[in-house]
Amino acid sequence: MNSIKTYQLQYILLAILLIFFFLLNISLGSVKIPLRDILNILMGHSIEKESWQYIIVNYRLPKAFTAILVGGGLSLSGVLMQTLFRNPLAGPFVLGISSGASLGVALLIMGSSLFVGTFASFLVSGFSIAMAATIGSFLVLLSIIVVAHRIKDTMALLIIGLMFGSITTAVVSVLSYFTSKESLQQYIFWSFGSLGNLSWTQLALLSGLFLLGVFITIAVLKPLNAFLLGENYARSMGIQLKKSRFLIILAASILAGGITAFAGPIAFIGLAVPHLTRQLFKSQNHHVLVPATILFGAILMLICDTISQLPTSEYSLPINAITSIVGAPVVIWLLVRKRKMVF
Amino acid sequence: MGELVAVVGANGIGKSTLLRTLANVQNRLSGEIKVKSKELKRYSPVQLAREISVVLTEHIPAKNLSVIEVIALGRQPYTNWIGSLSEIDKEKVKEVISLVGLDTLQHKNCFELSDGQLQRVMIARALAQDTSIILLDEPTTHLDIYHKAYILKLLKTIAKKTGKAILFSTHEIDLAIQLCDKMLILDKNETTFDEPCHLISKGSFQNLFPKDLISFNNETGTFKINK
Repeated sequence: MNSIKTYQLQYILLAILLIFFFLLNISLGSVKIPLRDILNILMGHSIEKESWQYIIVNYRLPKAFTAILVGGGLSLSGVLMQTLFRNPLAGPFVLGISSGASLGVALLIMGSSLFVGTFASFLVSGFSIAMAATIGSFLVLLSIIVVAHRIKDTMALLIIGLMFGSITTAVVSVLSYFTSKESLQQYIFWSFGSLGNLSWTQLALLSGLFLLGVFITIAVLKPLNAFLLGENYARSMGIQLKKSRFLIILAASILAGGITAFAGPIAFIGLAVPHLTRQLFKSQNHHVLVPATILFGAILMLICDTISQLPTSEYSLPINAITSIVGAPVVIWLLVRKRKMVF
Repeated sequence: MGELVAVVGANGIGKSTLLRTLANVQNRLSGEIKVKSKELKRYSPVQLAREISVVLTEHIPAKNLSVIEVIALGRQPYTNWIGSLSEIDKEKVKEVISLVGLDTLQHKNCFELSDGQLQRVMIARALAQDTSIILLDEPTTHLDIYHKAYILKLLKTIAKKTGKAILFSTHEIDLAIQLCDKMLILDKNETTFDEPCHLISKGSFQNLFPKDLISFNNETGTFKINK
């Protein structure tokens, strides 16, 4: 079996790229700040312009860290789902987790338009949106786990997840049909995804969820590798199917649900990054694949975020559109060039 | 010690069901299963994985695993919680690769292999699991007559060399008669278990299938189409 040592060079390369794009990400924006000052701020020195320091510490740094967590977490979630369902089209959202979050947010934003005045604006603050998304994705996650416990067939679970997704999407459509223009707009803005709205407290919470997801994944690395041979072989090698499946779903859901709650439903990354990683590392061994995917996802998300803030302009584009516009051609190019998918 | 045993019988008689039940992949309908005089249900999953390994008819989903990676996965019941291979595990994998004759193929990917080669890889994986019993569900389907014979001969050699009990289901009754130590014949009315030559002299193969189309020739040990 290939071990991590075999891929030392690639890991070092990825780590360098990550640092490079991290620095690039925080040095670009609507306000020009010289790199020397940025490094000074990062080192903890104070600089002359307090406004620059404020921008870096309270806006750009949390956003860059959010990008790393979102990219890494969604990609890891994608690997877990693709291995569990043995399906290259599976991603973090196949089980309807993002639809659940969307439903929560839709209920909050569109439902609160029934109230008027200050109470409504209190309801639709950034924090309550995150709460609604968390509750929504958690409820879907809960029903998936209940169903997963009763159903033996993993493929049936996949279909049920898709059905959950359809139901919640339909309810959101009905809600948006009856809601006011302003609420609809607000909902659509949320669905574009955003990395920039997190405070340091929220970022700490997101990091906690991310680490929890990673720890559970480490605990199921062995079953994940066994699942490469299919469930029956895995069982014959002493893997406890139900327990492993439960933990894999739990890890993927915590990652995808937590990220959607704080950053909105971000498409594409979770589906594509695992494929990109497999092309680069040519390994299916999860010991190699898991750390590589997290690094790769974080880098790609940083790049997408750098592009979306349209350097030197005052506008920033919806991150959800950028991930697909940047990422999809890369995947198409890789598959066409190699003419074969590594899965 | 070390016996090669074939399970034969008509389609739908329950060969696969029997093997799957023995491997604890599906629950038994009735009766008792004992492995080394201990009730099957009393084994923990890992303990059982150290006693029984399987070769199934299903294809493995991850086709781009290399041969050596698939075989190394067979060491899972022995590896630590994270699944990294110890020196003993690596030694065992090497030993199995040379036993099954996969030295030249070990770094190829599974999608590059022929059906016969792939079947050898799956047998090697089961061997790497280092169990006293190996169960194989129709290991010779989709293979040409040469590779059918090759796989069965390989199983026979493995049984003799390693002292393992190898039980496989098959439709190649004539090949099985030539190679197996014992055969289990599943039939609607009775189940017989004996050495192939005794089974022939008892006429056990005569009633295996309806006589209107094919009949068993006791002298050649093969089935012939009635003309």
